[in-house]
Amino acid sequence: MAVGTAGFIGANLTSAREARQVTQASLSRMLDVSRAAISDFELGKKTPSPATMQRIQEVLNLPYEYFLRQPFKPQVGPVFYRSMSAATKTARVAAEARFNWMKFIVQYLKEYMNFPPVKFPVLDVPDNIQKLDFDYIEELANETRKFWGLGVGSLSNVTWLLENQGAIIGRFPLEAATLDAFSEWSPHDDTPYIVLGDDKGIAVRSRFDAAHELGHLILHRGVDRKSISNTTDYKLIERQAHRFAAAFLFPAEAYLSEVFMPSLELFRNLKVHWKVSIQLQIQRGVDLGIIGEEQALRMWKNCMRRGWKMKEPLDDSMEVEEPRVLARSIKMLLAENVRSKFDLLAALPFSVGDILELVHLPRGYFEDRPDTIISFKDFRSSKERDTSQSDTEAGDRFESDSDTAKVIHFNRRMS
Amino acid sequence: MGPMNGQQLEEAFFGHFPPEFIEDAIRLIAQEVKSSAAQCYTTFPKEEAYDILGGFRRAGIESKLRQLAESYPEIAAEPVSNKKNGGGNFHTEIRAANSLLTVHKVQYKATPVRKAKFRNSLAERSEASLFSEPSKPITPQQAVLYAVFKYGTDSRMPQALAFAVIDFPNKDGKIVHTMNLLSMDRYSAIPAEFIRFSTLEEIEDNLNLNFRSDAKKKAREDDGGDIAAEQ
Repeated sequence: MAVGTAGFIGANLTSAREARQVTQASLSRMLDVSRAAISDFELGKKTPSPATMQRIQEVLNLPYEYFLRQPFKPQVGPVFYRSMSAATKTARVAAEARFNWMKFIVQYLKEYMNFPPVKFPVLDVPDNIQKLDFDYIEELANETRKFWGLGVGSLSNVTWLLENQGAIIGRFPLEAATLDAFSEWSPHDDTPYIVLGDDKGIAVRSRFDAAHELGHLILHRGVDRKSISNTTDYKLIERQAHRFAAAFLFPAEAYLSEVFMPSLELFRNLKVHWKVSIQLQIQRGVDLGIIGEEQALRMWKNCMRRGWKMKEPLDDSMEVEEPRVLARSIKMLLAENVRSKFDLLAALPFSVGDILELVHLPRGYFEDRPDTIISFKDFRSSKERDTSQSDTEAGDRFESDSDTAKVIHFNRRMS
Repeated sequence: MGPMNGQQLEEAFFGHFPPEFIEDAIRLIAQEVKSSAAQCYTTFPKEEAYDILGGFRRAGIESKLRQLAESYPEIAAEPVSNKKNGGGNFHTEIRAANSLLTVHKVQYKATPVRKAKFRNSLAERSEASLFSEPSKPITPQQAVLYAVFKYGTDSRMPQALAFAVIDFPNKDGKIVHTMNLLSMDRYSAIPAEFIRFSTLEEIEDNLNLNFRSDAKKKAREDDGGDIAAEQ
């Protein structure tokens, strides 16, 4: 009789596969099993054999625990993606799966930590996005600044600002050129979440992404998922968030008093102070009626000719803002000996690489501690697992004591 | 010696007017352009402000240029009536040795200043000594050099100095040479001084992150739970 994996939950295989952007067909080839078998695993009709289970862990770079846990399915609100139309569905599904992992980690950390209380303004925003005009968005951006006690000056750190006000921000690779960032006001814990892509590494772009997501969180909390799936509505929603971001980062009052004689050279100088891209400053000038269409066209062409469309001056020298909440929570837990690294890794059913990425700690952070190298045996000694018979193949048991495979991986294998 | 070329004109001009004075003048004009626009546009409705601005700005610039000239012993500035030339207005003449400078707002860098008898008269004197074939050779130091300082703003940005040039006209009003001051290393950065960087909003690293009061208890329970399970 074939041996299965007791306690295996098919939905976890689906989420793992999606997070890694692996299709059923690809996975079947990697595991050397039929595609139908993968489908059966995911639907809970069968469970993988020990050998296949071992391969699944290796291929998807996730520990055994991951596949046995009850799926974490928090109530979700509308998720806003930058470049939604361009992002592939696969990339979005993968991003959401990893976002879900991040939220799992957050819920774990919240058992021990008080996160910064959420202090986002609740402004008078019309439910109907068609009634939200750009002038009013400028006002709302100004109101948001005022609510947080800010003047019209350049913001030294947008990520810190949002975290101080209670947002939880993740920064990790989204591994899709078309996906820059996304956000959700989670109904699960009534908390604003922002995920920033770590793929491009351009400071001003990332600040804009954060401000854009703030725009969604302020302007579009009342928007339902249906509007997001409507292309026309979504384009408007995106333009509104863009305008909010521009107004929030570079308020009209400041722009009008500082931008005289608009030129690329001036915008280059202003970029250092305002930490916004040259191209955003051009668009801002157009939006505020300072730069005419012809002048803007000349500027865009100049940007193109100078190669600034892809990479602007100073992009290499400005530091990308780093989120702190999750990384600092873990450091505090360890520093105060509330939890050990071993405890953390046991409680969080992801690879070490994933955990470090999701909480924004440097790769290798856990490596300098002896309790990091955890073998499958070690895991079992502290957290005895139930490896009872599978539903489909009762009678035989998964003999895993001789298995010396490490369930903790330090490097992600899947790209 | 033939007519002076551009380089000789510039040398002659800066031989009389110290470069520091021109630097101060550009800075003064940029400041006045900015402050007068701010004053007018914050005091009057847009259309009225546009109407008033020209005179308001000129008053500020001419009066302050005279004050500036007083701080340079080799330079003199005075209001001169155009009555003897049949005009009814005043203009300010700034003199340094044999050079003479008048200052004017124009729309574009290449826009000539409008015709005026006093300018023709000044240009004719300049023409005689610099641009014609003199029977008796003269040196640049001996020349009477008339220079027209032109400045202007972008029509959409009346608060910003967009250009500052010095024209050297002949008696027909034809410009024989132009110095683009803001393209010169010494002066090019001056407009940027008038970019007002707003105060930086310093976001502090004051994350309100702390342990729950029951964190250690929770940890003990978790540990105890594990031990119990192992037992």
